[in-house]
Amino acid sequence: MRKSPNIGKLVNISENATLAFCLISLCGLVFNIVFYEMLRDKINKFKDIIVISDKLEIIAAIIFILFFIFHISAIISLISQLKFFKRESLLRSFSFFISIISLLMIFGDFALLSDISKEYLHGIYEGIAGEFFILYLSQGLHLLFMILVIVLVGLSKKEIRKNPAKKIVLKDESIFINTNYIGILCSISGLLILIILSIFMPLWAIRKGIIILTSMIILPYIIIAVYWLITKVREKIGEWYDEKQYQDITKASLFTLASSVVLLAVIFAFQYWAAGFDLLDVIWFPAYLFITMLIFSSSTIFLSKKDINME
Amino acid sequence: MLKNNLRKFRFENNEMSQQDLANAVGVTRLTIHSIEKGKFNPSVLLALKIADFFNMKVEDIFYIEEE
Repeated sequence: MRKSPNIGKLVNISENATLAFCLISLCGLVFNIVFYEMLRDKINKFKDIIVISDKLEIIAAIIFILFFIFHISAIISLISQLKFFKRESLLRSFSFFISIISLLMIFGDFALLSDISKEYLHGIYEGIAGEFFILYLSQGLHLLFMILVIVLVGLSKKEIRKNPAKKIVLKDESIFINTNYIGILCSISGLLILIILSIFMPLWAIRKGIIILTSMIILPYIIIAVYWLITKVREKIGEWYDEKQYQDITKASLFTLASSVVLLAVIFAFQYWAAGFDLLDVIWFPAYLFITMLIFSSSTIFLSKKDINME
Repeated sequence: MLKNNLRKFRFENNEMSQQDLANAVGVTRLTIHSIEKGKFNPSVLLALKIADFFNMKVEDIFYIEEE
């Protein structure tokens, strides 16, 4: 295969920067967890939290900024890996999905901490345990993302050492496949969250959070789709896909249309005959969005890859 | 059923890869792969481009086999 000269170096530089930020952020994460644990302990014992907050809030703020820079750097590295390797990868798609959710959760952490301290200072204790639970869940997500970044950088360095020059691919299929992988991940996460919300949360709480949650979950797909559009902007619309890709997405669209009508008919029947099944008043659109996205992305991947046994 | 000798011509042409052929005719590697496997029938335009690339007639590369 023809190769172009050492573009791998640029990917290497971006990955080294990401790795450095990742290791510093990992220390920051440990600090955060210790800080949250101290805060939780004080709150549980109804002690004063002002002293500990005043002492540590500047460090916590610096860590938030560091996390933000790390995430941006990691997202740039992921996109440059996507561009350099020209190969579909479920791990890379999963990392991209986690990167966006983890980035959004940095703002979520900030909002949660601010809520916890406000509620505690005003004597409202009911929601604090739940907020700490989400905060720790979010730290787990940050940790998962850091581990994924370390693994991906390691794999990428190994691959670049073997093949330091970029593959020449005029019609790139990897971004097409990766976008659909991300579509599957977003839609499965969305459906899982809708199910969890429907079981455990009251209707008013679902109504309050559904728009933000749906937007958060769908954001990775929107970002990768926009990136794909940017890569296609110089081409005519008719050249965005090659003829097999057109055939695959046409079949996938037909299948999505037919199966989503059947699924929605089943949901309609439930709503019509089953007493008390009025939840869809609130979640019908996110449910429809995630179901059609899941069917479309998975059937496109299936049709694209069903006869693969690449050389 | 449409069959082809694409793989044979690719190997006779300096053992070129699917990706190189895909670049030459403006499609993805998966499309070339699916054509070779007989899972995808190319358009007339793509068949002509492939034949043109190998300096052959379309019917030298693609042929119909009775099922």
